[in-house]
Amino acid sequence: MNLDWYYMARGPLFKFAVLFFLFGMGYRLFMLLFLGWKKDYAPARGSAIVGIVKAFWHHAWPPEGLREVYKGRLLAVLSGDIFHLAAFTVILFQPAHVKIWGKILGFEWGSLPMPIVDIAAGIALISLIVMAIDHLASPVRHLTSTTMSWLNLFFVFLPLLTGWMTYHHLWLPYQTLLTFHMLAVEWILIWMPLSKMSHFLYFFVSNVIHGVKFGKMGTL
Amino acid sequence: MSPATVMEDKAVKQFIKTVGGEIAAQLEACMRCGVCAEACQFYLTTGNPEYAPVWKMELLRRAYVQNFTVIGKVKTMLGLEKPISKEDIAHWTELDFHACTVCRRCSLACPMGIDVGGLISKVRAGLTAAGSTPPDLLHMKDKQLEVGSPNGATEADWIAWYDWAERERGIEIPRDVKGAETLVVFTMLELGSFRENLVYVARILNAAGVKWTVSPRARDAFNMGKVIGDKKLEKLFAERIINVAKELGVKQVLITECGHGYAALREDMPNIYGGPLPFEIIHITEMMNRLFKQGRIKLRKGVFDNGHRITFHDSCKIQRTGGLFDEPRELLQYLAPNSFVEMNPNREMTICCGGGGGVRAIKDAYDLRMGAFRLKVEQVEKAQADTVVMTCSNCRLQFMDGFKHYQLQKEAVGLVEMVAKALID
Amino acid sequence: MKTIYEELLERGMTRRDFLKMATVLTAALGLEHTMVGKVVAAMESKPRLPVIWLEFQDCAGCSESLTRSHDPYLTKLLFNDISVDYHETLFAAAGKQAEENKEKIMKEYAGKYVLVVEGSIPTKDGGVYCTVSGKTAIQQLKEAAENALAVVAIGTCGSFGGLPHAYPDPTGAVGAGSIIKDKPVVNVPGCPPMPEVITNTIAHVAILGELPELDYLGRPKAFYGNTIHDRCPRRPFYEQGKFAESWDDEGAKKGWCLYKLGCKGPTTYNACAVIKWNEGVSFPIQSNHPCIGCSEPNFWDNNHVYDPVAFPPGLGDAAGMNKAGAAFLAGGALAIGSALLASQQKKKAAKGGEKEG
Repeated sequence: MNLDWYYMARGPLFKFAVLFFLFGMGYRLFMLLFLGWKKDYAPARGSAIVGIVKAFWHHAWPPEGLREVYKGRLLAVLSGDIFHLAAFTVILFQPAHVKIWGKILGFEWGSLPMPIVDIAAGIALISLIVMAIDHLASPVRHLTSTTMSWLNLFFVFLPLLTGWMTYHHLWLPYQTLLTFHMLAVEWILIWMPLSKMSHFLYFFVSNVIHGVKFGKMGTL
Repeated sequence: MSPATVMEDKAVKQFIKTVGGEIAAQLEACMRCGVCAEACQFYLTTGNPEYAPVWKMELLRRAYVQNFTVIGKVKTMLGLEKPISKEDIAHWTELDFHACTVCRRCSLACPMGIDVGGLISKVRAGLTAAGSTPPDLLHMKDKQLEVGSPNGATEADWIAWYDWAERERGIEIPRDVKGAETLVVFTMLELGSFRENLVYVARILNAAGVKWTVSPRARDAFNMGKVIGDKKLEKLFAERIINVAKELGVKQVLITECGHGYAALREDMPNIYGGPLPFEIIHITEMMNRLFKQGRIKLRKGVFDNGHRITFHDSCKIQRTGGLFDEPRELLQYLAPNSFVEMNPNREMTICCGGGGGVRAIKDAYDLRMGAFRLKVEQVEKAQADTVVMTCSNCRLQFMDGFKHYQLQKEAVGLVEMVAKALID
Repeated sequence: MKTIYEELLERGMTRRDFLKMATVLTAALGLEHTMVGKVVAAMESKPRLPVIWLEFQDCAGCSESLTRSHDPYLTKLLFNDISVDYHETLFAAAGKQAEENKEKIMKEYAGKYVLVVEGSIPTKDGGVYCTVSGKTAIQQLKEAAENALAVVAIGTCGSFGGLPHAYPDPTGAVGAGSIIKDKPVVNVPGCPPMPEVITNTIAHVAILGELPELDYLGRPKAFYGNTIHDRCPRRPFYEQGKFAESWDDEGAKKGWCLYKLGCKGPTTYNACAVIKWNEGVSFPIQSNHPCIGCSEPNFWDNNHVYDPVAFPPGLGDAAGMNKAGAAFLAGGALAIGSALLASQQKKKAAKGGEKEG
């Protein structure tokens, strides 16, 4: 029947994707933990805790000197920041997503009205397109971009696009759209441990390292 | 195995050796967005995307991916990942030694918090392990190994400097005094070019009544091992100082106006030993501030308020990664409360002078470092400063070269000199 | 053979009444106004088509629904004029006599009768789980379908297998479309389908002698073209993010969206929100109960009735959580192994470096 993929996407494939994601991220986390860590014996001038707080705070609100640097690649920095804000608005506050998180985590939070989620999804999609333009326009980004980074952009684009299409019920039957959306999400779950998309984990580790290191030096 | 393969092999082995959780986390976090490029004076002044810090650490990333990740191993097997080649090593030697001062401005710019500069110094270590270090730096390393100082100054030369100070300036330079509380270590850059610093430091310490000494055996804080990324040499050179300091039983080792020598002793050595050093490593900047605050030295307030605008250049090893931001500023604000102005950006986001990390020693990199200095010139001109004060002799030499190159009538001064001149005896 | 129009005239209907009826009928069939002429022409030129109504694994709920149709014209049309000639629940004849009657029609009207299938067809074990007069449902269906003008599957069971198909599906139940491959099957799913939808669809086939426009699941687009969600009177609350969170909270009393209480409106294609039940009185959502999506294939297995439509089946259950934890730890164990290998590699590299250096 025509709905076979729908059942596959909602049932076995989803389960597989989630398990694969957890397996992969478990691998990544434990690999990181057991790869060997060195203690820093250098005398501390500043506080590591303050450093960590500032390391994260500087991303939310860059100090003047940092803003100066960011100005050079404003498009990239802003599209990156705005994408994450918009995408997480969608992922965390779309009513259906809230219910799913609630079911998984055991507690729930309020959802946002659909038009707001809709706009957020649109912003996220546009910022991904801006990122793609930046890949071509910035000489440095062009040099460092690889097939993988293009695939990453594309694979993130898909669930947002299909989700947005599903909400607007564009052209295809609802189940077909939902199937595409689910498949795109599942693919991302599988793709994440295999690619740079796992940076969500390392972002925190890396910034803590940064905060400890530069906090102790007295830089931050 | 051909000799060529052995070369890359050595680099890769060095990379494998260094990779731990900390480096892996940072390499994995890197999204290669290239924002770090906007922090790099070499990229900003040339527009060459290969000078982006993210690209300079590419070799380390490749070695990591190929040896530590499942995907990377599979890709290498399928031929999708290029192993590091002899050409790569030659190419990155130029990128990482000629066009990087390891000033770590990029580290602070990184949106993912990656210590890009720190990772580039790991790449330098790999290149050095492969025997691919710029000849100018190798020459300096050999000199330091053979005669003690990278510029070829021998023990006799140093003693001649000490004698000069005693003879010409009439100030005693105590040598190898057992039981002294402070061992003062200069660098050959400083004494080679600004010999008066010896006198200035002596006067400040004498004025404060510090029991200090120098040692002809532990004479040079310069550390070529740190510059080229050879931990064994770094330890060897640092131990020349540490062993004497232990022997003399000093409480602190005072590093004068040298950036990386201070960092090598303070940041690197405890980690190489795996424990803290039995004495304090202190930079002259912090020392002066401390003595001033304790009231052990008295300075004439506003002595430099003479119509010239004075600004302060933050050096990478002493300020950005040393944390000594307020110490020099407090002194300057006392000495020149009305004429002291800040450059922008400053403090931890300071723009590098462009001559550190051995770049100033590489003759072929002259155009690059002078190009990079353009940013500094712009900053100084924007601040409308006539005098730039700093606490690192390498920066100071680069400033002097740069002002000459750009034909500017501006002065680069060491803070030590200003403080010494402001002393109330 | 008499045409429908002639039969109606015989019963005392005037031309004026006939045209009026044809107009209403056109609208009821979900056709455009311009199609009235076509309907009139069809009724004037074509004889009435007999309907054979077969029941297999069913509860006769669909037939019950049919008898509650509130459209007088259509009901009359079906029972009086179109003539359902074989209907196990509704007609008086039984046993051999009934079967003979059916066979007679099938022969007499070969290629001209409409076959309606209610209930699912068991396929397991040679189809023994449902037999009528000694023949399995599969045989019955195949025989009846062979010379049928069209096949209309009524109800979710007849269309997609429905409740008998639900896990663990002991009889291997399927819809008519899975058995009949050489003829188009019109699916009229629902548990039960709306009476108007049943009558209209059968009337469409029987009067016009052709199939209505169908969607990808073989459903008439006129009735299954939109989701309940798209036509739901509570849709604005969904958009505003106003949801009833429990059955008796403020939101439920104010008639807010029932999405979070498991409404399957978004994935359910049906006309409930427009035509409504019991002569247009109400439909589940209006009566403060979420749509359970009864007209969708596999609706029973697809989600718990009160789970939001977004939940993949089995999400967050204890077994799943255990599996998730196990997967994470398995990844971790593998990683520790890899890390040990890596540290060996590092030691080797360090040693090699020393030898050479």
